[in-house]
Amino acid sequence: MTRAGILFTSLVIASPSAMAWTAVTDEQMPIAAKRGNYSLQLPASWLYDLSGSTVLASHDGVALEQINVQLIPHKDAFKAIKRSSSPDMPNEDLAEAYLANLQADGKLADFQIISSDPAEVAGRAGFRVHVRFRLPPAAGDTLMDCTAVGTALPDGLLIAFYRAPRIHFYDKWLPAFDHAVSTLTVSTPSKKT
Amino acid sequence: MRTYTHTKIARRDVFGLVGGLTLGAMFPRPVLALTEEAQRDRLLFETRENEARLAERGFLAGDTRLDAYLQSVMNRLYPENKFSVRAIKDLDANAFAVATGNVYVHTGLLLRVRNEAELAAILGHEGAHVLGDHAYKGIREAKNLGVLVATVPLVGLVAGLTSMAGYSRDLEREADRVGLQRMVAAGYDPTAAAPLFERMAAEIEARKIKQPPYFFADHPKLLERVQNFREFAGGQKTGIVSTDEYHSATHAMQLQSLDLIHERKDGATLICLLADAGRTALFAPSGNFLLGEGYRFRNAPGDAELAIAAYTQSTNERPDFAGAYGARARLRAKQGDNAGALEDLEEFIRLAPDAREASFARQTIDRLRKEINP
Repeated sequence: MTRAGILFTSLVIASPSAMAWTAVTDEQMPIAAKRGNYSLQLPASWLYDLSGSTVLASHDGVALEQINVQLIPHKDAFKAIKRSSSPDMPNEDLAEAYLANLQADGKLADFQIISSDPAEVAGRAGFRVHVRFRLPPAAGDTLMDCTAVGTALPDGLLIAFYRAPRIHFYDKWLPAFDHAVSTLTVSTPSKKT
Repeated sequence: MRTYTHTKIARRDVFGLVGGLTLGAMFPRPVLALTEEAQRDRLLFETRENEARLAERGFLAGDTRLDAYLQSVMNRLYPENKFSVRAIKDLDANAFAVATGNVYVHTGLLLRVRNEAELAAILGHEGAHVLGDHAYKGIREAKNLGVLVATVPLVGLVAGLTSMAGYSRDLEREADRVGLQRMVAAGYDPTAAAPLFERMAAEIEARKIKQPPYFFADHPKLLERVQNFREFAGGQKTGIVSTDEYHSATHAMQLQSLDLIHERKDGATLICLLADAGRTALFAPSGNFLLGEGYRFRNAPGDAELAIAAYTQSTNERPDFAGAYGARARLRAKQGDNAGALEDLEEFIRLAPDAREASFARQTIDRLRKEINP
């Protein structure tokens, strides 16, 4: 079975929703999100899906590695801690709330913050965090690493994260994520809500 | 979804899980047809399995000094029995006893206890559940058996080990009464029980918690229990309280739990736990820093000033406590006090150049310097 076939099969099993996976044929081609005015370039040989509210991409299957980009409405940015974001929120506060929200969600065991730093995201002041956690036993009890970047736009919190099992996969595809983030562009000025 | 702690163990989830494992659904007629002995065997078997899972999945605090202290208080209350007590690593304010005679106390409850006499009230109550065979009596009422095979995560295990719906009011009242008798017999001040429950009632109100921890029951029951404790104690205010001993044995665990609440930005809980007079001094200099963080996270009108005052108190207690400078700087910058913020950030970087927040602090220092001296 081809890699696309394996990925498709695993996703059909994992999710009841229909997903449409497309192979990246030209890594120079910006891939524009259906929701939100942003685009990015993804590495060649990856597959991506635009059917949901995110840009979701993977090489070997989302359980093994995934890049996920989404524009979250400010009011929904930090639901687990019952907070919202705002366009003028300092990047340090965004990072702090993002990390607290992950922890408060309560689904990530052995949660560790490896780093939290300011970063430029899509040409704006943002943050970059690196966390480690363990998936629940039912999901394989796997130790995962996740790097996320984020910045506040007028119409929402733009988040791009890359997560993969710490062993083998995370280091392998981190440069691909870094490259994708470096191409992240907010294509048109978003309307202020 | 409403939660009563940052652990997100909501009663709705619990009941959802329990509801799916009701007596009728899981063990219909065959269990009901079992003899009492077979029912007891099954209860013990399932309880032991779930207790093993608690350990396997890392829910036990595993603090031998803390467990030894809890055990010493339990032994004093029930010298003739061998009830084992252990702390569970969870921020929920709960405790429970299981059919094997073991008692578990959540670190979140220990965080809310102020002295050994209050701890004795909890352990006395849970020991009374064991002594009174309440686990089995609960099953006889067909309330518990179905949940014995509940699984992951902690909420499921606890559901599998206890009566999540709570024992009947009669059994709870009996446990309170017997527990208080044990407190008196062991030499503890019996009036210590009521303040713990009163503080919990105040916290439930302050945090607008709709589903309180099951140890404390719902609000009307909680207030009724406060009244019961007062009646049972009969105003007899004599005996051991042991505040220092309790604090010494639990200090590390309490500070660790407060740090976890801080990581989750739960300002309302930090304020509930630390705003009382004298509380922050017990955890100096972290106490005032964490109280300041509580106000900063809550961010209600006037909270910024309260937070700055608490951070300042923390730096007064220990001038090299870096975190308080960094946090105070953030609020000062928001208030437009750039010079004050810059001074704090420079001190923060001097004291903690490798702190996790240091890169943000350096970025803000650069910005403030440009703003102050364009």
